Amino acid sequence: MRRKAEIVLRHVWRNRTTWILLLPVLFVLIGYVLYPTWQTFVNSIRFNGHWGFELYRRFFTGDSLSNLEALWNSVYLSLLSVIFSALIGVPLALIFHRYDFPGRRLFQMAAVMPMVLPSLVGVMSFLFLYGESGLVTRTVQHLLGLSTPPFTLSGVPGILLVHTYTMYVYFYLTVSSALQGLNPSVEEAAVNLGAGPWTVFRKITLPLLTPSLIAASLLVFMTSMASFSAPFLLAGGYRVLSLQIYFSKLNGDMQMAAVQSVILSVVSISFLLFMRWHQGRRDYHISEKGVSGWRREVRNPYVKWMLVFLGILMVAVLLLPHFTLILLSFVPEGTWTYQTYPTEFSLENYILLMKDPSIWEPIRNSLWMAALATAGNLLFGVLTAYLLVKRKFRGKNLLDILVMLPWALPATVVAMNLIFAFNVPAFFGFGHVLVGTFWILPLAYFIRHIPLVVRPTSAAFAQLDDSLEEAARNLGAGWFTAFRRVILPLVLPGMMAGALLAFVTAVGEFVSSVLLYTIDNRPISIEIMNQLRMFNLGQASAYAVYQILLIALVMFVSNRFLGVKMQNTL
Amino acid sequence: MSSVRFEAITKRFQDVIGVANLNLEIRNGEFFTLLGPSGCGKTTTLRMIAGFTFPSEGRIFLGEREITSVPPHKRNTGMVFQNYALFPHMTVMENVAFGLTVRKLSKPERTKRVKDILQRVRLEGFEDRKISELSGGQQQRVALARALVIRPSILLLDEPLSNLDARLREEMRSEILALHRSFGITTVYVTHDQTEALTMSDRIAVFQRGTCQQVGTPEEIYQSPKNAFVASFVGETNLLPATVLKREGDSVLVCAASALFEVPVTAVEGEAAVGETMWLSIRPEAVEIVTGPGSNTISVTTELIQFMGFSIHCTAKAEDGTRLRSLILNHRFQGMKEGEALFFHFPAERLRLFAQRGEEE
Ligand SMILES: Nc1ncnc2c1ncn2[C@@H]1O[C@H](COP(=O)(O)OP(=O)(O)OP(=O)(O)O)[C@@H](O)[C@H]1O
Ligand SMILES: [Mg+2]
Repeated sequence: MRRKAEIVLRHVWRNRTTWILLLPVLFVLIGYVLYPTWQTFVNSIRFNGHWGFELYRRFFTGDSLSNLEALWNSVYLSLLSVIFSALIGVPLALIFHRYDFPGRRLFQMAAVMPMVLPSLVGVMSFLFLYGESGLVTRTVQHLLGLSTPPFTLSGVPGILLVHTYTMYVYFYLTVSSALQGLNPSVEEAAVNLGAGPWTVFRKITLPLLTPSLIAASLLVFMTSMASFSAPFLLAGGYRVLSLQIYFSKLNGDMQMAAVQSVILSVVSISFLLFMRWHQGRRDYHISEKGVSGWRREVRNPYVKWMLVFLGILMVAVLLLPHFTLILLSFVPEGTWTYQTYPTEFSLENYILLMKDPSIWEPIRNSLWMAALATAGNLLFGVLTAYLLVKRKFRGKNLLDILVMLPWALPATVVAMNLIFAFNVPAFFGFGHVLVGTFWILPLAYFIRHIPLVVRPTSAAFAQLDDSLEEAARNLGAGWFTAFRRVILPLVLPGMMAGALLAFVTAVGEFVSSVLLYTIDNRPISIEIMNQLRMFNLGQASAYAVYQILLIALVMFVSNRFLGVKMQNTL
Repeated sequence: MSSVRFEAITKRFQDVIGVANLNLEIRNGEFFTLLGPSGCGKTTTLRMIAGFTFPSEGRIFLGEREITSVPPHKRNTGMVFQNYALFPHMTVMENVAFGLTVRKLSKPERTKRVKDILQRVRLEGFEDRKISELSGGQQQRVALARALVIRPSILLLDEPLSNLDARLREEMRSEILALHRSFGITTVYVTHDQTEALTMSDRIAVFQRGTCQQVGTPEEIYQSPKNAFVASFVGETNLLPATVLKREGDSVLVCAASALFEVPVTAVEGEAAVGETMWLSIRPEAVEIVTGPGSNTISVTTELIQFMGFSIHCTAKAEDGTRLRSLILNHRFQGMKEGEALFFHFPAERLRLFAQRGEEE
């Protein structure tokens, strides 16, 4: 009898630890993810004091079909982005995986370089290169002796170009990692049974790559549905949904903004659910240790040097944005106007940073807010990842979805949700109005980057053997001691990698910032926009260079010291 | 069905030699095993037959046809990979039918042959299973069926049993042999397991560091190893340094561990010049325990007696400290004790004399 009671008691006690740990996690997720989403929904079904779906009716059938057009444009643009990204990313992965030729490693490194450009900075650099008065545009105009620019970066082609440049990396990385996991002897077996190279590709390689192709397609589709910076700077009159939300808010039509947000959310959430279902469905992970993919050395000299030439061309195109930003950051204010190329270079922009507090302020703001958000992400991330991986409780799947939600939702929507939740005194705002204060931005960064820390930390926890914790407890350590002394040190690298990623992403954040910033906490990205408006390209570039350097540093540290593989940062 | 002939084949990988100057003939219908320690070039040899690796020098023939540079999908060899390499996105049926599909066989013909072969490997009823729903042994059988169904002219097996547990390994061993017998197909089998090689093969080629050391039937390899490496890699052996004293008639007199031994010339590797240091080898089970001195006999003190059930392992020390092992079957156990003084008799016909020690791998 006594033993039985003891077992039951211990069981309860164990569950109590789970619940105590779960409490803060649920508080955060309900208060800052679920409640704001709910508030947006509530606002979208209230019209002139009545409840109802009147606004949705207007969205789909109103006198101006601009909203529906924006939705359609978003989908259209996203589909094209998927196709173009795949067309670049997949062959690139296949070539690098199959063939060896001089400079391959260098080209492989260059292939992921678009990742170090924050979205706004990337678009900006494309404007500097291919915009109406961009360097490349002017060069072509000059060379051909034209009186008007031969092309300008805008509208659908412009957005597509930027999307392809930034998003082909998703295809490249997922397919590369799938190819690495693919056991070469499976393809050899097919050859041995008499299949020619094309049959092997069609019947073996392609089907085995399908899951990763679908995953990458979904990722690109979602990212491009949510894309804000590219349309913001390049769309011209072209309407896309994420941008419409911003305009509705600017025009004070908050209710339409709510409706648009809900519709964009529905699209994103269905994609999130579809992606989870797809990932769980089949997994051909059959690779094992010791089997390494062989690369065929390219023997034919023509093919070899052609590959090298194409590689060099690729590096040039891929790195042009980075070099342009660096170059322009040395151009002092007002010295490059009508000339084809900038003529004066100096360190002025960098010196101003030290001297002029108003130049330094946005950087301080960004670093400070990103640090606050990341600290929150770390605490929350460890707790949540631990619960998700090592504890059993009901509704775990739901919690998992809630955690992924802030990253799956477009940043525009996350920001709108926060506005609807916290532009009035709310319980979760501790009775204060948060919108218009300093705190709303760190809060937005924190929410949006929750998955960035939870995911790598969960992966680290998943690799830990349960018996480690049990062994520590068996040796007499309490739960907290076991966690602190045994578990935490082992998951630290994964956790730190996630935190670093969250930090740099927060430092470069633009989309939710543009909806939520105040003049006192304006972050770097907003200041870049200000400088662009004043045509001070030099200072804008200098800001961009700081961001790139920071991101490059973090990637280097994660890769070198924390053992993070590129593809895991997606 | 076909024979295979290697003519002066060498395969270099950048600076590593995979296989060096290999001359080998695998006969029609034979079960031929490539045996050797890890990295000795077995897989490389096998992959050259399949066409995944092209030799740097030399020529390969499949029957009368030279295949040195024929691409792998035109060779009609059936290969079973170490990890099976089953197509994970296809069912058992689709896996087995793959080779027939690329050969453009008609659907009814395909189905008939697949059904037939699945029955042969005792997998009827598994047609629609996914690969991930099979046990290790079943996957092994699918791999075999997939290779056999195309009626290859030669069957290649690269350590096919190494992923299975001991019990299953034994079962699959006899199953593979049974299939070999019933199909009569020339089979090349790669393994580093000497028991597997000895029990299954018609003939064995022993490899070391890319060089083929000896080719022969299991008995030949075991009873008359050509050099010290073969002797110590296939089975166990006592190996002791011996100085050649003189050659008389058809035997050589050597001194090893301060005792004198006569070795028949037929068992001597190389010239055996007087004064040369060579290596005397005798298998533990050939050592006889006797009570008194005599010819080819050495006096020892037992050190360790291990009772193994069906046999007894006895480790003993000669007067100069050389350790010797002997293995006796249980029914001749006469209650030896550790520390006892005994005599080991080395029957002349079981002795071998090698030129080199043959480094251990
Ligand atoms: N693709 C390759 N590139 C470079 N070296 C290779 C390659 N394949 C094999 N080698 C080398 O050739 C030698 C023979 O290799 P092989 O794979 O034939 O050995 P093995 O006998 O099959 O060994 P194991 O029992 O470990 O499978 C080894 O030294 C190996 O390192
Ligand atoms: Mg091998």
